[in-house]
Amino acid sequence: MLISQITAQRVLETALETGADFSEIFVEKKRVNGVLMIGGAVETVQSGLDSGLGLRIIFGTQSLYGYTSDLREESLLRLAKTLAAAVNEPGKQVLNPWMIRNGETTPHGIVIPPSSIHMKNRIERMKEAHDYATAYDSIITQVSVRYADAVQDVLIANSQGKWVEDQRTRTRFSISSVAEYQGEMQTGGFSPGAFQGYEFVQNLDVKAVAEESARVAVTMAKADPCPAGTFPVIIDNGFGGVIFHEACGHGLEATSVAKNNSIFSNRLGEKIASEKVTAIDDGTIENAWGSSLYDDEGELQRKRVLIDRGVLKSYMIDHLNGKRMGMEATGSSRRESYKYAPTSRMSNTYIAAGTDSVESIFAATENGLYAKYMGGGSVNPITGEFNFSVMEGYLVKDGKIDRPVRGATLIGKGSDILHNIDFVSNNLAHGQGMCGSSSGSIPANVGQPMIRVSSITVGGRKGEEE
Amino acid sequence: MKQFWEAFLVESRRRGVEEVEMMMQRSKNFSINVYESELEKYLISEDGGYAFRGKSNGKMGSVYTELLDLELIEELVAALIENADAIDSVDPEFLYPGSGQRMESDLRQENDGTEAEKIKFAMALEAAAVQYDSRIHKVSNSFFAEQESEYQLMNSHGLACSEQDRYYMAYSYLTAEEENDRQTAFAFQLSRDFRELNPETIAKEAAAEAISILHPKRIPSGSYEAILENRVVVDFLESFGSIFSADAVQKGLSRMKGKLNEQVASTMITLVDDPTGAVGFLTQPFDSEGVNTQKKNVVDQGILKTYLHNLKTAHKAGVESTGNAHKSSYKGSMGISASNFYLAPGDRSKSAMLAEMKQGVMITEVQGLHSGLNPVSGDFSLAASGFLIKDGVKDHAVHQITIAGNWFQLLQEIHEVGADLWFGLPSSGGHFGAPSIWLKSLSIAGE
Repeated sequence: MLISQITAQRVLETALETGADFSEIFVEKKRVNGVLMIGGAVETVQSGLDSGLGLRIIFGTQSLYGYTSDLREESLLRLAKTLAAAVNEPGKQVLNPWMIRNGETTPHGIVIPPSSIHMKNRIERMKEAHDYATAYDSIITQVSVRYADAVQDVLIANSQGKWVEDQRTRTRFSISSVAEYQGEMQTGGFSPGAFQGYEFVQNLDVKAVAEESARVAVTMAKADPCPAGTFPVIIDNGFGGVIFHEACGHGLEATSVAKNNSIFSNRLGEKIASEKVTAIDDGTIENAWGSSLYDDEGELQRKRVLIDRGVLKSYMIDHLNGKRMGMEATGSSRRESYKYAPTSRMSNTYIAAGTDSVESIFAATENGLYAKYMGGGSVNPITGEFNFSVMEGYLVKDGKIDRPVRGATLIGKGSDILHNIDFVSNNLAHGQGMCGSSSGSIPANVGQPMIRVSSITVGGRKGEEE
Repeated sequence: MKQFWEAFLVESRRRGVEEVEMMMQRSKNFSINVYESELEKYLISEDGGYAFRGKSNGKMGSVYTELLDLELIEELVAALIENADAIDSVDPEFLYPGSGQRMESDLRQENDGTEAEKIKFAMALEAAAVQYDSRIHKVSNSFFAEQESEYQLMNSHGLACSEQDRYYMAYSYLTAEEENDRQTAFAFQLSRDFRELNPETIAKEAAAEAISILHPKRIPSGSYEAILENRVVVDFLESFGSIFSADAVQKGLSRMKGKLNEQVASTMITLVDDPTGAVGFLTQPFDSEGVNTQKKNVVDQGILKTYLHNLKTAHKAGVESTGNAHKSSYKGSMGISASNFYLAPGDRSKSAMLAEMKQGVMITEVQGLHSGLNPVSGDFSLAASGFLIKDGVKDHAVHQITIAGNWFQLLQEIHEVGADLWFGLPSSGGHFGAPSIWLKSLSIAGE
C-alpha cells in the first residue's frame, strides 16, 4: 500500500475543512529504467524511483492542486492545510466510507516484469537493432537506440469513498538511423511501445524495425526536395493518425470543449466530418500503449465513439469539466504523474477502417503527395491550425508512386481536413507517441487506415516548379 | 539529507565504488490562473530529488530517487553498479576534483509579495486584457507563477556547491475575434523582483498582437525579402542550440565539426554565451559538474571560436571545460547546454530596417520547430505567419504559409542584424536572445 487508509482519510478530511465539495489524492511510486546507445556503444543508463502525492480540491467548478514528493504524514497534512486555506465556502462535506475496488480483472496482463530483467539483456537487444540498421547500407552514418520501461503503482482515493489501486507497466524501444548522401543528412526512426513488460522487446521484430528506419533514412537522403503547393495527399496507415490526433482529437477533449475554446464545442449530433470518417478513442485495447484499466480519477477506461460516419457523437470528458459542461465523465482523465492535476486526454485514438482499397486511392490521384510515414507536428487548439512534417514522402503522378521527396510539411486547419477526407482504406494500424498537454506528457496511440485528403497545403524547400 | 549522503558514501565504499557524487534539487512552486474572474487554477508544490553518480571499474553509473529512505541505499548502490557495468562508451567520464571547491550562490531578491497580492495581480492581468479592446473575445490564460529552487552538488573529493534562486513569471494568452475570424496571442514577463512585473504591459502586448493579426490573407508562393522578428530568430537559435555542443560535434551530429577558427557565418554575427548575470535568467557561478562558468563569444564576427564543453568532451578534445556541463534535472543525464546565449545586436531598429526594405514580408511566428527543422543539416520548412510589408509598413497580416531554407546558409547571407535584442523563456537548452534580422531572400510557399 502506498499510504495507509488512515493517513489518506486524514489528508482528505483536512482538505475539506474550509468548505470544499470534493478532495482527491493520487499517490504514485514509479520505477523507471532507460538506456541510450549511440553508435553501438551504451552511452547512458539511468534507473530511478519517482514517488509523491498530488492532492486536488474542488469547490463548484474551481479546482486547486498541490503536490509533494515528501510522503510523511506531517508533510501531507501541511499540504492539505495550505491548499484548503485558499477555500472559504459555507458548510462542510464529510468523507464517505471507503468503497475499495478490487477483483476487477485486467485485460492487460504482464508476462515479464521489468524488475526481473538484467540491464545486460536489454542491451543485447539494442545491439542487435544497431547492427541491423548499420548493415543496411553504407551511407548509414549514425544509429541511436533507446530503451525505456516504467512500472507505475498508483492509488487514487477521494472524499466520495473511492479507493482504487492500479499498476501500469510500459515498455518502449526506439531506433533512429541517420543516412548521409552527397552532404544531405536525413533521419528515419520508429518508437514502438506497449502496455507490456520485457516480453514486448522479446517479441518485437527488431530486425524489421531497424532495417525500416535505415531504409527511410537512405531513401530520404537520396530524395529531391519536395515541391510546395496544394495537392491531394495520401496518408498511409499507422502513425499517419497523428494528424487526426493533433488536429481533431485535442479539440474533442473536454479541456478545450468546456471553455468553448474548441471549434467542436456545442456541436454534438452535427456533421463535422466527411461520411467516410468514424473516429474512436479506446482505452481498453489489450496491452496497447495508451491503455490502462483505470483512468487517473479511478474510473474504468472504456471505448468511446467520437465521430460516427461524420457525425459528432461524444467528447472525452473528465469529472471537473463534466461538471462545467453538465455531462458525465467518460473515463478519459489522465495525467503524467502526481505533479499534474488530471484532465481529459486521449488514450488510443484512431480513424476506423473503411472500405476503399489502397489501389483505388492511388488510381484516383493524378497528381499528389503520398506520405508513407509522418513525423511530428503541432496544432493551435483555438484556431485549429496545424503543421506536420512528413518523414517519408513520395510524389504521385498518374495514379502511381513517382519518386521520393524530402522536407515536406503539411499545414492546414483540422476542421477542413475532416471534411476533405475522401477515401478511407481498410488497413487500420496503430503507432505510438507521447502526447503533451496540460496534464503532462502521457503515452498515447494514434492510428488510422490509409486515407486521402483531397487538398492540403504542402510546404517544401522548392518553389512551385511543377 | 546529510545522514543519507553519509550512509550512501559508506555503502558505495563497501561495494568498491571509486568516487561518488550527489546532486540535490528542490523546488517550491506557486502558480495561479485566472479565468473569467475566478481562480481557475491554483497550484502549490514542494518537491525534489537526488541524483547519484559513481565510478565503478572506471565507468560512471547513475541512479536517482525522489524518496529519501535509508532502506533504499543498498538498492541504489546496487543499481548504480549494474548501470555502470552496462556502459561501454569508451570516452571516460569524470567527477570534478575541484580541490575541495566550495561555492555558495543566492540570487533571491527581497521583493516578494503576499499571496493576496499575487492573486490580485492575475485578476488585474485578465481585466486589463478584456478592457483593452472590444475585439478581445476570450482571455484563456492570465497566469502567474513563482518558482524558488535550491540546488546542491557534493562529491567524495570534497566539492560542495550550493545555489538558490527565485523568480516570478506572468503571461497572458488570449483570442481576438472579429467577423468570424479568431487569432491568438501570447505575451509574458519574467523577473526576480515581483514588483517589476506589470499586468497592463503584458495584457496590452498580447491584446495588441492578437488584434494586429486579425483577417490574415495568404500570399503567393515565391522568394521574398524578409525581416525575421526577434522572437522568430530566438526560436531558430534555440532549435539550433545544440550545434555548438562539443558532444554533438564529437558524435558527428553538428555541421560545426572541424570549423574552429573558420568563418561559419557573416561577419555581422557574434554569438555570446554569458552565465554572469548581465543578461538572461540562467545565471550560475558553477555548472552541473561544479566547474566555474565563464562568459565567451562562441562565434565572434562570424568566426567560430569555441565549442561548449563539459569535462568529458573537454578531455576528449584536449582542452579545458568551458563550464557548460548541464543536467536538466536529477532525472537527466550529464550533457551540455548554453547558459544565456544571444545574438549580439546591431545598430538599427526594426522600423528603420522595414522602412529601408520597403517591400517584403515580416515573419512574426513560426510553428512546428520540433519537426520541421533538421538541426543536423540546417534545413527547415516551417508553418509561419506575419505581415506583408508595402512601402515600409504593415499592409496586412499573412497566415498559412511555410518558410523554407537552410539555417547555415541563411547565417552567411544575412543582410542586417537589428538592435532589438529580446529574450524568450528559459529552457533546459539555455536562455536564448536575439534581435530581428533582415534577409534578402526567403523562400515562401503560399497560394
